[in-house]
Parts: sequence; C-alpha cells; structure tokens
Amino acid sequence: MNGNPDALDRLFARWEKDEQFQEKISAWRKISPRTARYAPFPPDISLEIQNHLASLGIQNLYAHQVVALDELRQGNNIVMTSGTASGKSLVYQLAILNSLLKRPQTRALLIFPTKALARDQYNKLATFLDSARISGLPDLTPPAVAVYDGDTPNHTRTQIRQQAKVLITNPDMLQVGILPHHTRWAEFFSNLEWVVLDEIHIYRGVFGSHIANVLRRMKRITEFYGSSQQFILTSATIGNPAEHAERLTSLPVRLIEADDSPSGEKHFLLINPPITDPELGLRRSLAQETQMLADELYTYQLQTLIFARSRRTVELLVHGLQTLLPASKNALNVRGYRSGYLPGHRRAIEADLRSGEARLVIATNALELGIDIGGLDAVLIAGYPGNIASTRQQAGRAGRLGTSKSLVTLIFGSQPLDQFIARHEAYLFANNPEKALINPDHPVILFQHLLSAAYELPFRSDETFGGLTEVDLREILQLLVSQGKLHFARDKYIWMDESFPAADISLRNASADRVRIQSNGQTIGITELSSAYWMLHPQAIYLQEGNSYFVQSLNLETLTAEVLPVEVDYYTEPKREVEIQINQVLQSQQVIGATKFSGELTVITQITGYKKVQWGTYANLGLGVVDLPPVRFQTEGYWQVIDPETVEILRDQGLWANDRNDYGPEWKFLREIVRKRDAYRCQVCGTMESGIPHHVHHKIPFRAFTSSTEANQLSNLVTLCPACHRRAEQSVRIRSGLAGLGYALVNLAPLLLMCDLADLGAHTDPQSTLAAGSPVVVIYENIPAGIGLTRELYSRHGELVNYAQELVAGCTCEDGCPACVGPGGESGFGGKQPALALLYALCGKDPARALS
Amino acid sequence: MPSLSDKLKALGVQIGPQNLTPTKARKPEYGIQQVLPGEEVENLYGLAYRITEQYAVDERYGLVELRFRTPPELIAQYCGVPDLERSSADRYVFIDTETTGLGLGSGIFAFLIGLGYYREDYFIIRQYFLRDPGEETAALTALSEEICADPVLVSFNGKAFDVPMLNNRYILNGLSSPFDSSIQLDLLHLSRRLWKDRLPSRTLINLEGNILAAQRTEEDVPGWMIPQLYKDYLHTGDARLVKNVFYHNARDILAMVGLLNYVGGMLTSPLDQSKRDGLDLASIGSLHERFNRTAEAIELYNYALKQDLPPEVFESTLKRLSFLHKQSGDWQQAISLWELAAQQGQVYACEELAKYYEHNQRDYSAALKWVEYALTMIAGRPQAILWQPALEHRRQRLLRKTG
Repeated sequence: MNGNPDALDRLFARWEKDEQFQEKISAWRKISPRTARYAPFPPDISLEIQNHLASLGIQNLYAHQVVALDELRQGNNIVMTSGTASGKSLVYQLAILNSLLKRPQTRALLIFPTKALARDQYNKLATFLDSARISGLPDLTPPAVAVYDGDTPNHTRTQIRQQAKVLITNPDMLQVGILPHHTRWAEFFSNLEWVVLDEIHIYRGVFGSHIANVLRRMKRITEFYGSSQQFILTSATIGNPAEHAERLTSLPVRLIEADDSPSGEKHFLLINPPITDPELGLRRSLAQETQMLADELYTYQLQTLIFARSRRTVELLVHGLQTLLPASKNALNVRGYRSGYLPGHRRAIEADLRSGEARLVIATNALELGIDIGGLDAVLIAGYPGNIASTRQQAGRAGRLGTSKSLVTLIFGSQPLDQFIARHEAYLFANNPEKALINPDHPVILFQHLLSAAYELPFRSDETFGGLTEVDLREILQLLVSQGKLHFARDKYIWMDESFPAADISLRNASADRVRIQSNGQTIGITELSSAYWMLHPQAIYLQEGNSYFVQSLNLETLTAEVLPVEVDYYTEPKREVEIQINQVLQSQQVIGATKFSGELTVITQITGYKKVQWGTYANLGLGVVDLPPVRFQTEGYWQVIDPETVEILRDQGLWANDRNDYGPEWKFLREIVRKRDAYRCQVCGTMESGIPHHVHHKIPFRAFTSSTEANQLSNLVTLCPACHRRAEQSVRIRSGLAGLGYALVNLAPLLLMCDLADLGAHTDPQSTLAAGSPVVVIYENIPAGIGLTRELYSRHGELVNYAQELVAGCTCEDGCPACVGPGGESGFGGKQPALALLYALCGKDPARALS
Repeated sequence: MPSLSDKLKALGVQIGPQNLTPTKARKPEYGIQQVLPGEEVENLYGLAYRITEQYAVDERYGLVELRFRTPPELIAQYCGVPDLERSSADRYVFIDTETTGLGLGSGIFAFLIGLGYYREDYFIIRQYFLRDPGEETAALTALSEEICADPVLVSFNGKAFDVPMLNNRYILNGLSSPFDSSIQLDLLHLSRRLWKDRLPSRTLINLEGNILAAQRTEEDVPGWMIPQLYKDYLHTGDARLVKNVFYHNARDILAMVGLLNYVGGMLTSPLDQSKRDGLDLASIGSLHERFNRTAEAIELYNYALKQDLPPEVFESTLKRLSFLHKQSGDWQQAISLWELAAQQGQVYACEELAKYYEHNQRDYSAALKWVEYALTMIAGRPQAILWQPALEHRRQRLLRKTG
C-alpha cells in the first residue's frame, strides 16, 4: 500500500490558508529527510550469510549497524537507540547467525517485554531463517527457534527445552517458567552466548527494577553452568541509555546512538486547542480537537494512527469517531487497539493496519512498541504522552519505508504538563530527554528475587547479591534460616521450603490478580484488579471498541465482572476517596516557607461512587453510590508542611484562601455550646478530646446558606474529631490555593522523572492530622513500597516549585484552569491567586506579586 | 544505613522467626543411628547414610507374593522395548522418593530415596537418607554406584516426578545421572488405564487397599506432612520425627511390587479368580486390545459383559467388542451386538447396520430401514446435531439407490 504524499501536500496547502487553524499551531517543525549511509559488511560476517542477505535484497548494511557489529566482535555489550525500522533486529540476527556458524551449539535468548512483541519478532525471524540456505548452519527450523511463553502448548515444551537454539520469551516467563527450572535447561544455559533485551526503556520504575533482579538471578545460573554472555540491548531515545543498560545488566555497555537509515521528510506539528472560555481558561477539549483533525485526515485518505493516553480515551474516541464518520462504522476501518482486547483480535487489527484496510486506528501506547504495523501517513498524538521517549517512539510510526513525507501532530491537552510544554517547545526538540530510573536494590523487589535466587541455587556464605554486601546478605539469609525457609549446611544456604517463590512475583503490578470481563458467558476482555476497581465497579459503563457495557457485578472473589451490552447516551466517571497515614519519616529539611519531608506512607483509596456524564455535552446526569472495600497500600511519599509564618504572611495580605468561611460573630460561642452538648466526643468515632479541641462541622455546608444564622442552627452542627472531620469535608472539598499547589506540583513531576502521571498521586489538606493541624501537600507514589520517585522529588523540591511557579504565573486564565491549578467552577472559588501567592512564597519571592 | 532486614520490617514484610519450635539441646538417644540404625558409606564426596531391609520373596504384601512373576514379554510389550523379553528380575529397580516439596523446580530435593530390587531369593529395600542436606552429593553418588547398569525403573508417577527430579539433583551436584536414558515402567499410567472406571481414586494407597487388600499401620504418615517432618527433624535433630517417613517409603515400594505382580497375574490368567470384577475384566480386555491380542480381548469382553457392569461401561465394552468382531470379519457376532445396542438406543449401531446392509449385502431397503429407525430415534434430541447430517445424507443416497 503506497502512501499518499499528494494528499498531505494538499492538506498542508489548505491549512496554510486557514487562519483559525494557524492560530492553533504552537510550532510547525519540518524535519529534513535523511539519506542513508551504508558501509560494507564487516569481514568476520561469513560470505554465506552475506550471500543469503543479498538474496533477500540486502546488499549493504547501514553504517551504524556495522559499528554495532564491530563492537560485538570485540566482545562488548551494546545498546542501540536508533529509530523505528533502522535495522536493530538485523544486528542481533547477524551476530547470532555468525556465532551459530562458528559454534553450532551456541544458544541465544531473546527477551521482549510483551508476548505480542515476542510473537511478532518470532514471525520475522522465522521468515528470515526459513529462507536460510546457508551451508554449515545448524538446522534452524522450529523448535530450534521457538517462542516459550504462557501460550506455548505443553506437549511442545520438552522439545523446546532440549532443542531450542534461539529462544524467544518475555521477562515473566523467564523468571517464573525458566530460571527456577534451570536444570531442565542445563544444555541451554551451558551454551548461552547471546542475550537480546529489546525496548529497555520500557524496563523502568518497578518493572525495570524487577528485570535487573531477574538478570542477576540469570547470571548466577549461567555462572553455575560456566557460561558467560554478551548482551545486545535496544532502547528508544532516553536521557541515559548506557547508564540504564548498565544498571539493568550490571555490565559495562557501549552506546550506539547513530542512525544511518534513511528517513523521509517529517512534519512535526504542535497544536494547542483554542481557548473557548478566557475567564475560566478553558480550551477546546483534547477529544474534540483530536476528532476534528482525525476527521480531516480520514477525509484526505491518509492512513492515521492516533495515540490516546488511556484505554478509556481510546474508547471515547472510537465511539466519537464512529459517530462522526457514519460510513466508517460499516466499513469497520475505524478501530480501537489497547490492552484488554483478546490477542487474536489485536493480531487482526495489526494485520489490517499493515494491509491498509484499517484507515484510522486509535491506540494506547500498546502500539508504541516495535510490533510491525508498517509505516503510516500520519500519527496523531492526542495529549503529551508524558515523556520524550514515548513521544518520539509514537512519532516514529509515521513515515513509510523511511522515504516518503509524513506528518506527526501532537495535540496538547489541558493538563499542566501539556501546557508547560506548549509554551516551552524547545524542551521537546532539544536532545535531553528524561532519564529512566530504576532501583534494583528496592528492598521488597530485591528480597523477592533473593528468595527465588535461593530457590534456584543455594547461596554460598561468601556470595553477594545485587547491592547487598556479604554481611548484609548473610544477615538476611540467617533470618531465613531462623524462619525455617533455609537450612545452613557445609557453607551453603539450602532452600528448605515447600513454597515456589517465583510465583509470588509480579513484575509489573502490585497484585498479580486479573479480572475476567464476561458478557453473556463469554470473556470479552481481561484487566488487572487494580484497574477493575475504577473501570468495572458495579453500575459503571465499561467501554470496549466503541461499545458500551453496563457492569452488573464485580465479584472480587472469583475475579469476574459481569457486563451487559447496552445502548446508553452516557459514560461514568468514578469518584475516589483517598486517606493517608505516615508510617515513618525518612528525611526532613527546612526549605523556604515550609518544611519538606520524605518517608513511608500508607495510602487508603476507595471508590465510593460515580458520576454519569452525557456524551457530547458532558452534562452531569446524576450520581451513584458504590460499595467497594477500601484498598490499602504502603508506599513512599514526599510532603511539605507550610510554615505558620508563611500562612500568616499570606493571610495578612488576604491571599490565604484555605481558611474556613467567616462563620459570624457568635461562632466561637456556638462552637463551645456544641462541643459541650456532644460531651466533647467525636460524634462519629467517639474519641474524646485530649488537649486540642475537636472541630465543629456544618452538616449542610455553610456555603449552601444565605446567612450565617441559618447555617449555624444547632441542629446543623456536630462535633467531630479532626480525622472524621476531614473525611466529612472530603465530599464537600473546597478548592483552595493549597489544592491548586498540589495539582500543579504533581502534574509537573514528569518533567523531572521518567514516570507516568498515574505513578503519582497528590493529596492536600489545610488542617492536616499528618502535621498537627498545619497545611500540607503530599505527593505519594502509586507504587507499593515506592520506587524512589518521591525521594528524587524531595531532593529536587526547589526545581519543582520553580517550574510550578513559572507555569501558574504564565497561564492566561483568570482564576484557575485545568492547565495550571486545576479547574475552578464546580469545585470552588479563588484557586489561582492564592496558589500563585503560595508558590511565590515558596520560591522566596514576594507573594504580593500574585495580586498584580 | 539500615540493613535490608530493617528496611523490610519497616515495609511490613514478614521475615524472621515464625512459630518455630525453639531449638533444644540435641538428645543423642534420638539420633538417626539410634532410631533408624543403618550404615555409613563413604565415597569421594563424603559419607552417605542408608538403611537396609530384606524380605524373603515368598512373603506377601496383602494378597500378593513378593516374588517377581510378571512375564517379561508382557513388560516388553507394554514398554515397547522388545529387548526386555529376556530380562531377568534383578534388572528391575523399584524407586520412590520423599521430597522437600512438590514440583520440579531446582529448589526441591529428595531427602529420602528408596530403592527396591531382587537378589536371589530376597527382595531388598535400601533407603538413602540425608542426615543433612549437605550429604546429597555423597548420597547421589552412592546411589549411582548401587544401581545396576541399564536398569528398568519401576515407579508410581516416577516418569513425571521422581526420575526428572533426581536428574535435576544430579545436574545441580555436577554429577551425571544414572537414570538419564533408563527404561521406565510407570505403574500410575497402567493403573489409570486399568481402574479408571472402578476406583474413584487411583493413588497408590487407595490401590493397595482396594486391589491388594493390604493395610498400613498407624505408623504411616500422609504424604502432605512429609516435607514439614523433615524440616522439623533438621531443626531438632530428633530422628523419631522421620521414622514414619521411612515406613511410608518402604510400604510404597512394597505396594509397587504387589501392584506389578497383580497386574501381571491379571494379564496372564485373567479368569483365575472367579470373583474377578467385571470392570477389571473389561479393563484388562482393553489392555489386550491395545497389544493387538484380539482373541484374549474378545474373550475378556465377553466375560465382562456377563457380569454386572454399570450401563456406560456395558455400552462401551459392547461397542469395542462389536468393532473387534467387525475387524476380524465375524459379521454375525457383530450384527447381533449391534442389534442389541440399537434396541438400547445406540445410534452408532444403527449406522453400522446400515453400512453393513448397504455395502456388504447391497440390501438397500434393509439399510434404509435402519437409517430411518435412527432418524426417528434422535428426532428432537441433542444427538441430532451430531448425527443428523450424515444420516440424512445416507438416507438420500439409499433413496436414490432403492429408486
């Protein structure tokens, strides 16, 4: 299927004449085409292989491929960061084939982050090898080349274990299905020479920290069998590819960053949807803007891939576009693609993309990875993906055969991060993307893998593991001995337990539980339990490929959700409540205007209800209540307690909006009466006052009344302890400067860390029990036990606060908008000014500047 | 710097002592040598500990004598190894292990390996025991030295568990396994085949109770307790804890001997015992059928059908018998069985009769009669989905042929 360059030119010409369109453009960069640089085959690549490649139409290698092969020949490990379709796979295929020619018993292990990617690569490799008629090469028909994962049929597994020379798997299978059974792979591990680890930028945060430990375990095993490996890694552009690769593998790794493959002219367009309500600072919604553009691209017959930020947005867009383009519904060429669809369904969509049948596909970043879908005319990125690596990966999907013209459009959403980048576009194009962070010595992750390692091979008393010294390791092993899990004999710690520790490890999630989504007795999808709480709570509308389903029940014991297909004009948004407890303070320091802390927290979240939102109008059609248990987890967080002096200064200037309302002159007196009436006891939990007076709460919010006399009727007042009061107030949350500050901080954190917004949560409280009644802003990690993200934020507190101040000061809205301190309107008043004043105070500037 | 264990504690990860019985001073009177007297054998890798029991071959386990009496040619046929036809009793090694857990991961090992073999007029049981997991290399080496070259391993689920597990251990200890390419006779598979209809549970202990009429004493321990008993022994040094595990292991080996002999007896003279269960006869018949001993199979099926069989076994046995007759061209026998089955509502029988009349006799109206009989039989019933199209097709053809 050929591209459609004329159409693109015609579209550009139209846009140039369209003034309204021009106003939306915050940048239009033309990236010049790149011509290929070739180099001759390195001399050690056998002639047979060269001839074979020639027969496949490959006469030359790109220069960067030759550099990579040279490094490998010298025995180095490499990480390659060249773009999509730049021939990274050919490098490892050649290296492995060449070794197999020299030493037929050579084994290679190829690890891909997902099953889908593994299958895709297997098919490519099988095609490549199937045509191989290279003399001297061992037989490489299956099972000599094989995928070994959860889908591999049982009856072929033994054969694969004994015969596979090139084994393709994923990290989960490696850690649970292969390493703990290494004796059955003795031949394989004894001869293992090559390890290919693809797309290592995916292995960051929790996942990456696990992978580093899986590789530590594998290293112990290969050392036992007396073999050593060379690593070939690939990555998208990240700030620290070599460092990241070295932290993952614990080995020195050479960086190959050149890209000598050809690429066509690429237009990179940044679009900021127009402001529709200057006062509230509201822009046209990302979804609307995306739909308008997608409509146009579809009409110009440009095959387009849209990246949406969430599975939910994918469904919203599919639904919207199928409605907007009625003809497409029948033609089935507007499709959704995300995790949760069944594998066969996803394969079909990929094939339709390659054949050109699918004209408009709306996907999550599940399609960001290297699955072969061919090149597209246009890529539309609906909302900044959160980091530069992802943005570039997604953009890399545009462009056919590396030569024709293509278009990438990034449409900014109203989130602070998006708007920050819309105003700092250089950040996106400069060559300094974020770093991938992992913490292989994260205590819980390390410990889980330590158990598995002990199961796999007994620890010797002089061994070390990861960042643990001999002494540290011995201490923990001794504890396990006293617990009866290990037995110490003849200088070895021998596994003495009936459990299978690898099964308890979940590389990606806090929980390994998956929920099955059933409609009329058929499984239509699967999702992890943590997502099920908000996606599949009872009475929710669950969306999949443009279809709506009503959730009848969510059974947390059988892990199934029963859904019914329905036709309704609304979708649902879950309401969640968050409560935080401090377990331990790890660090704290006085900073300008506040004290910052980092430490361990318990976060309790609960889905308590949902809102019905009408399609199109976004009107609120009503609320519902849900009865789901709270979910508790331990994590790390970073929080700041605002100094009383700072509050005082702001208050004096009328810039502290976090105070209660003016409850009238009798309030002090009334409060006494109510506390006395309630016997100084919290009327919810029954706690007695001890030193500090309890709060007195308006059952119907004060602001709902026109006069204080009405609001302050004794029947409307009740005594509550601070904790219960906070819970009561959560339902009537008051937008305040503090909440605005939390909103801006958490949203800008990804500028400093390569993490997903969903990895962090913010919680603010003007009278927090966490800080003896002082105002507090907490940023916590949504990752159980934390991964070091908030420690990094703690140490870069100053930078973060300054970015936030810049963002809010630069925003054109009047009184708060989604792009700075969060929307005003529904949730309250007076957000922006007090937040900005607070930010000035925290940056050591005069808060009064917020008044001008 | 807090240590890893401190950090883990702070995160609420439970490590450290948990309901462990406190280590008491080890009492020499309850050491292994006192509780289970045995001998130490020495090799390159140190000492291994083993105990030996000896039984005269005319002793019985339940109903069955220990003497090896299964005809080797039957075993050769079952294992598909013709070479075994001339094998003698001393080539057979019965094996059973007691392990620290389930599964075939590398963290599981056998702390007790029981072997049984024949030497002249005796059946010997030898049990290797790891007084300490560190003795494994020595024990595995001693085991290799004791086992005859090219053994036939008799086990109960050894194919899937004991043997691969031991192979893992040899690899982990840097030794080569004596079992790598051994011929295996796994009684679990045989038992499943023979008693799937008769016994709801075909665990070894159930088989020995139901088939061999052997009873274990209170000394026996259930399998699930065994890993914990060894753990406790390691912790306390009190060998009384594992004494019953030795008993359990030895009984398992004797039960295997009994079972093999019983099966051998069943196959050689199935009608010996007048009270033989009809279900057993049907099962042995099917085993003979698998070995292509048609005459024996037919005889046993016929006997079985005269016993009181549950309806579904009766139906399947009758069907198998009818097909054996069909294969050997004994149409009269086959037809009478099919007519009986057809009366009992078996569609396949009608179809077979129709085929017979159509192709052998060219009696199209008789064939048509059976097809129509079958179609009436299934009308409105679930089997219709399965049979209707083929029957209808046949009916149309027969209608054309009958003109």
